[in-house]
Amino acid sequence: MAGLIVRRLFQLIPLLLGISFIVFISLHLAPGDPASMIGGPTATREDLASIREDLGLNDPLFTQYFRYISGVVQGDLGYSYQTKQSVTEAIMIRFPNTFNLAIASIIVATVIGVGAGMISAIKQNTSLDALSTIGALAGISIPNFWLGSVLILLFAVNWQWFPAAGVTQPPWTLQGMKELILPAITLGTGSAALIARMTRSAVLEVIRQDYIRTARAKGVKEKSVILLHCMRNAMIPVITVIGLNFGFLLGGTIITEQVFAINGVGRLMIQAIANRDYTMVQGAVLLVATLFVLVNLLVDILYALIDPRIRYE
Amino acid sequence: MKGFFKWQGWVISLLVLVLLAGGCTPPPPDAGSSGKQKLVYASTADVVGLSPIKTNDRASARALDQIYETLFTRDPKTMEIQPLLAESYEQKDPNTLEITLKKGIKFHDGTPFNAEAVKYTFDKFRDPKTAAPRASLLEPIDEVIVKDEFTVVLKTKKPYGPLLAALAHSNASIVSPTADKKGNLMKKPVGTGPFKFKKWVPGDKLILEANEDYREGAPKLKEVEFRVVPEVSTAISLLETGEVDLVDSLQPEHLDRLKNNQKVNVKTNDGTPVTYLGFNMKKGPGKDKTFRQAVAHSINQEEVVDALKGVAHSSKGIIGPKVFGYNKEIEKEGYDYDVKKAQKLLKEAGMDDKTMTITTANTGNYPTLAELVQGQLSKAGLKTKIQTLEFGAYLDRLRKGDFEMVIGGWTNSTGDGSELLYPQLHSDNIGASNGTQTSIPKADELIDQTRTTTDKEKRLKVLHEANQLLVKEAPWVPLHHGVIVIATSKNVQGLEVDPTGEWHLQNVSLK
Amino acid sequence: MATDTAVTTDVQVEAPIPDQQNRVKTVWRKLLQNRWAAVGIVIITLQVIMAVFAPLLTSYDPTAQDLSVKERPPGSEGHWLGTDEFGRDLWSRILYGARISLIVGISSVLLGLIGGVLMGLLAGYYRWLDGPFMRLMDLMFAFPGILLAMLIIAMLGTSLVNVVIAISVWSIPSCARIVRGSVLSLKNQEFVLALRSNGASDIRILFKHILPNCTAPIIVFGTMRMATAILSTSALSFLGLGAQPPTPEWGAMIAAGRDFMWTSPHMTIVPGIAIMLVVFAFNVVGDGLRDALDPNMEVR
Repeated sequence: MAGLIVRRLFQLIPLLLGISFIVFISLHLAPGDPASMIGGPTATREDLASIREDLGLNDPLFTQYFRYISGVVQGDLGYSYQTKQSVTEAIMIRFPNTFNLAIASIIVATVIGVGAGMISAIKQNTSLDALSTIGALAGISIPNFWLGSVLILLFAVNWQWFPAAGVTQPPWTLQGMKELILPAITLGTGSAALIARMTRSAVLEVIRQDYIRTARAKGVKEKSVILLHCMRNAMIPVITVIGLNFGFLLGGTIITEQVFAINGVGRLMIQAIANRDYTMVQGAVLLVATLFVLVNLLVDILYALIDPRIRYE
Repeated sequence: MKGFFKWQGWVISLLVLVLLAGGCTPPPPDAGSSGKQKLVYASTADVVGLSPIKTNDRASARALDQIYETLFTRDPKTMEIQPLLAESYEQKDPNTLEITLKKGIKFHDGTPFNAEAVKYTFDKFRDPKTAAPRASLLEPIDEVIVKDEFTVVLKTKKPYGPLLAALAHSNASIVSPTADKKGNLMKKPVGTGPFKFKKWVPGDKLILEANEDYREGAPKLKEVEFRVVPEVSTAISLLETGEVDLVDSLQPEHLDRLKNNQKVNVKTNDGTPVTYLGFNMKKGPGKDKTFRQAVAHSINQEEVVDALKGVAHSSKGIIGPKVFGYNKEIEKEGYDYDVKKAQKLLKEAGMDDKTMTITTANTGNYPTLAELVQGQLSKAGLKTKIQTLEFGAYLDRLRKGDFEMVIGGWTNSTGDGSELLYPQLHSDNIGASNGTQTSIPKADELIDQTRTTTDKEKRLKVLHEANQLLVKEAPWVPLHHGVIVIATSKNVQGLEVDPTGEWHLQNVSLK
Repeated sequence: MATDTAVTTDVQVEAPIPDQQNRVKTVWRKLLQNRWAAVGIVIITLQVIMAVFAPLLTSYDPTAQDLSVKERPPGSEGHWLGTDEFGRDLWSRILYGARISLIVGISSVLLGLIGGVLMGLLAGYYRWLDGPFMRLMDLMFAFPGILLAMLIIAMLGTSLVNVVIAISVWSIPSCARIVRGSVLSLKNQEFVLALRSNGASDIRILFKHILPNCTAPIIVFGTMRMATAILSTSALSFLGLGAQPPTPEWGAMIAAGRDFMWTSPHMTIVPGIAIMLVVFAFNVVGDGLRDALDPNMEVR
């Protein structure tokens, strides 16, 4: 286990270098330059020239990349071209919001997904099963930007049960929870559907297995049999989905944050790309990639703990 | 059974970890001290920063207008320029403007406001090392001289007509020299305005509080929050639910939705922005005046204004009715909507079987306008393709002159005609703000005159001449002139909106 | 080359490919027995019909404006699904939109498959390529797909063609991984070893013998990927990075309709349902195909 962790962390270094290089090159190849976005439509040639000089954009690409990377190595992600703010600080302000949204959506997805999956497995081949199956399939098929808009229209504007947008309070307060519910549903629906499907098949497999029959024969009450044994097995799909879909989830936060006006890393990235704010995009992408690798590592560790049959060489 | 509890332990510890991580990070709740007199404004973009010297965007300007003040300001109703931080001014000779300043004003940090502060601000603004994004605004100034504590003299290189308008621009706000030397105005602004900086959570909200020592009495609002809400339709939902009090930059389609709402007031004012269909004047069919005239005849401005449901007003002029330099005689000139004539001219230009590309940005209602224009041009027989680009890529294309036709706009934040014609249509600015690459020697000459003339009446006359000439030459076909739309909750009182879209909150209160 | 073929045919070493026709029949039968997959096939068939016969199913040009009938609700005279803000018939836009979503879906999936299959085959077959290729794939995996697409579009410009490119690049790593897995398990099997000792060229072995044995997971992956591709196209268009107006792309229609949600919700709801149905269909058919081909297959 320790070996696995160390190896993965070492692999992170070339990965991040590669990513930063790709992002750097693609941004510099993209039309539009940061000076032009800072100067805006009013800028004169002189304005643009002095902004470019100020940002060091006249240096050769190689110099610029090297300057950036040597900063990163020392833990300095640089300053935003646009706002002159420290990139680390800008990301740190937004990260908790994205994190809370992701966790809230995982909770929503797990509750709905495991619930629906177990019901449809236990009531296999009933109309309840059919209903939850089709619900799950519909769940993966809904475009989340569309779902978000529809939810705002219904629950915030029409019935006014939840606020329309924005996160202003911490998630443990009532208001904070209310603010997170619609975005969490928007983002969690897709994962809920996947979890439901996987839970269903995992539970079905377990129900047919010998030890459940044994447990039943021993006279353990039906409900506790199902709950105890199946729940544990249902954890595997949940963890798999979280692990495999983490990238998808982060991608989803980009759109969900945009629709619900949540001040998160995803929205920061959209704006930074649009503004050609090179350093900000770089910083945010590096963070996301690191998270991605760490989450996958965590998932692998959890697998090994839950299912002792899994071993890593 | 043992295995189960082991598993449970893991889940619980995971949950605890999650709660801890979530628990220690989010922003703390606001200290809810402000009570009733707190106004929340929903802005589609966050402020870039809070220094007038280092920013040049709309969101920042709205905030700067509350925190800082300029030497001069425009009356929102008459558009006349009046002194604000200045007491009076005198044009000593065409190149010398002497300004007497108001006495006894202090910046929020206690620094006295005086001629030194003005000199410091303008010198820093004009220093190439500062790389101020709007440096061009004060570029005509040659020297700033402190005559005595409350008198400052501005020397220009050449006579500069729109100087007062430039000094009334948000970016020409006066900053506290001590605060700028010691700290970072981008993060901690210090001005003389009715509101002081309280807190900024980048990307989320900016909070200002009343400046109790404001010279005209403390503003009635105790606190103002600029909340970032990127989607206008979300902002409107927030307005409807009462979470937000003020929304601007509304699109026409939102008006219908708000019209029937009892809790919301919608104010519309004809404004200075202009939106146009421009040609590439340097290469391709756009060079041919006959072709430009054909297109001008195919544009039905009434239909555009109609489709924009009241967030637009019409005028044939490039300089519109709310801009200094407008003369209503211009409505008799220009090109009428006339499909037959358009068809004939298109044939003459040999363009009746060609396809042109309309380039525009993917923001605001540009894509909608592009579709509308496409429909109108097809009636006259010109086929077009639409190409919408990210704003950055769009600016890039304009600067390089890499397009055939373009839909663009100009907000004109000084409200002066020279500030429209010079950056957008003078050959000096090809490669920068003159996206259509327009270079008409006669027009250049007239535009130069509008800048070097300091006499107001003379300027009006030359601006009109330039307007006439450019409307005839048609590097642009004006599509519509903007209307400033602002929606507030019913209890907001005393809000005045300037035709440039600026507003000041010092006299606003909540009922 | 000629000798190669001669040798292989002489020795009669062939990959164990089951009787193709029979296999297709069995799979098809199994697929139709799965009722959701059957529903999916019906939806996809309908979409194909809509896409192919769009001009016959409506008399309206999907881009023709008629400002006198703008924002009509569904059920209006002459426009049973209503019209949009330019008075364009929504039904005709949905029809032509079906065409776009199908073309974009198929072409981006095919491009992604070509890239992914090539990389997977090479990485699985040549040990020395495996390391670098898979590291590259890891690198692409570590990007959220939508972000990767946004970067590619920032670089290439906004257009549907660039959306196709962005989405296909984004599907390369998953596809490569699946193919590589199959190749790894196949390349040491007897028939491959025999072919190699008979002097068959690598290209021949890879494309004539190994590839046909990986078709099942590729087909399932491709079907599932159609769903993702259609969903992603609409998401990118929603962000203003995809289809150019007035193209009747469903996601772009939703984005435009959002501003009218309070007055004319049908402009958003109708294309939303269209996307949902089609994505649903490709998902269930993909599922059904997997069950029919090999329930133990690991394709997501």
